[in-house]
Amino acid sequence: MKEAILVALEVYYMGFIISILIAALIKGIQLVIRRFTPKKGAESERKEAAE
Amino acid sequence: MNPAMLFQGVGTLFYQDPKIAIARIVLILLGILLVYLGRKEVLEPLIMIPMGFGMSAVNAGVLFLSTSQTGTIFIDPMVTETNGLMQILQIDFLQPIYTFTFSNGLIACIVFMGIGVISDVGNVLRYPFTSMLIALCAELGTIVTFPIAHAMGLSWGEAAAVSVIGGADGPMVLFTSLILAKDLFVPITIVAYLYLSLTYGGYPFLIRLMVPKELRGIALKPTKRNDVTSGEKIAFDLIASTVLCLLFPVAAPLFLSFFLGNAIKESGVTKYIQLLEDIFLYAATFFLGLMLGVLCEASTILNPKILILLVLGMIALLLSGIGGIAGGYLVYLINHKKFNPAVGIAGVSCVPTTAKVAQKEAARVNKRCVILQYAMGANICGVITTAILTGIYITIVPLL
Amino acid sequence: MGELISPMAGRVQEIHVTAGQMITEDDELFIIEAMKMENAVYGDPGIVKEVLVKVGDKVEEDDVLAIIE
Repeated sequence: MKEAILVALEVYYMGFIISILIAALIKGIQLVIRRFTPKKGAESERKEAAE
Repeated sequence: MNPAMLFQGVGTLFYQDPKIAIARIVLILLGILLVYLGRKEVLEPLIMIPMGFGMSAVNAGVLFLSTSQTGTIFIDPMVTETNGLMQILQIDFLQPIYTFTFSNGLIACIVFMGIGVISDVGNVLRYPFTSMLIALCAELGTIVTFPIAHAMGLSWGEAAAVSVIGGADGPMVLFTSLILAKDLFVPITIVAYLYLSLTYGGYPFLIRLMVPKELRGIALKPTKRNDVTSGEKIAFDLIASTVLCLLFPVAAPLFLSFFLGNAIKESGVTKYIQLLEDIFLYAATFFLGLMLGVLCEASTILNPKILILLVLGMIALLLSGIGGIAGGYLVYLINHKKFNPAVGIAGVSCVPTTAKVAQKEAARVNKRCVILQYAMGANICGVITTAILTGIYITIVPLL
Repeated sequence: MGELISPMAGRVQEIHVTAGQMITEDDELFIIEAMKMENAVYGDPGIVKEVLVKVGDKVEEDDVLAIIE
């Protein structure tokens, strides 16, 4: 019984860490994408100004 | 002429072990009951109507395969040896579906693709930590049931498979039991789908029990319009799928299926969306229900462990529901009381059933209350957490 | 001049108001279908100036459904 509880807790612990990492990953994805989008806007602005 | 040989469905009743004969009759009646409850929408009709029909037909239509053997010409889930299997494939009409889509998990994956195509991950991207937290709390059943199941005599694999019922994802349970508890996968999956169908009817009571009216109706003001583009969602689908496949290759088919389905939704390719949503999802659900019913043949399903499974399945989903709502409370406290704890039930990832339950219960108390978005975020994170836990179980159990 | 926005993403299933109609707090103005579930949208009392959507339109959260004075 004790072993089973330990296994279950181990599973949960790993799951917890990975889930939180995924959540952090999600925020990371968003930051990276957002950093690239305004840059694209600025670049096209510069292109228009040059023409 | 021997009357038993003329109407073999009846004749076999007298030939078989009385326990099996009685079980057959009970299952026939149960099948009829399920169709009725499905029609009344007490249970999910999409699964229950084919399942109920299959269940009563397969238990009625037993014949003498030879002078000493009874069986049906529906399926034989027990045949594994190649020559025997080829023969059965040409005789039993549902055997091809069973062998080529069910026992290898394909049908579960197709259902998952369908679920991916009707889900909006936007809310996962807007509120990742809140959704994940709730989803993790809603996995309480998946974790606590494991030691209980083991203490009740199940093997590690069987205990894991039953615990995954607490993750409230039919395809996951099917997948896990096929890999970890092959001998019990039929009863485990049936119990899972049965209870999952009940969540729509049962969870509202859990919410009313655990969340007082004043809190149930808390309306959540949508925060500044946090625009999540389709591109972001597809990026998330791709990255999450790859990362999770890297971590848990055993559950890779499921990850691929869900995220691919979702990416197709976000891609806007209408023909593919229609293919997955209208054809795949419903075809797979239909055959899944039918398969489950037809697998409930008395001699296959009569297993002393089934009562234990019924108890454990209920424990798993009950604890997950409680855990989810507790998670909702946690977020409520963290957000300085600006949250609706009922959203927590949506962490139990029966997509989109539990999210709808949360919204319905909230709207009952406060008709202006809209929490569906938050509920969906938790719902989908629930799928992800269940998949992660499933992957961990499948990886760890063989090492025990 | 107030914009009645949609509280959720979904499909406009029913429209219960027309331009010029007077509405109260308790009136069901729209029914939005999301995830195969019907949700009623309520507004503040006033007069409907313009209805901006039609039945079958797909709306996002915060899309303007109508303008109410």
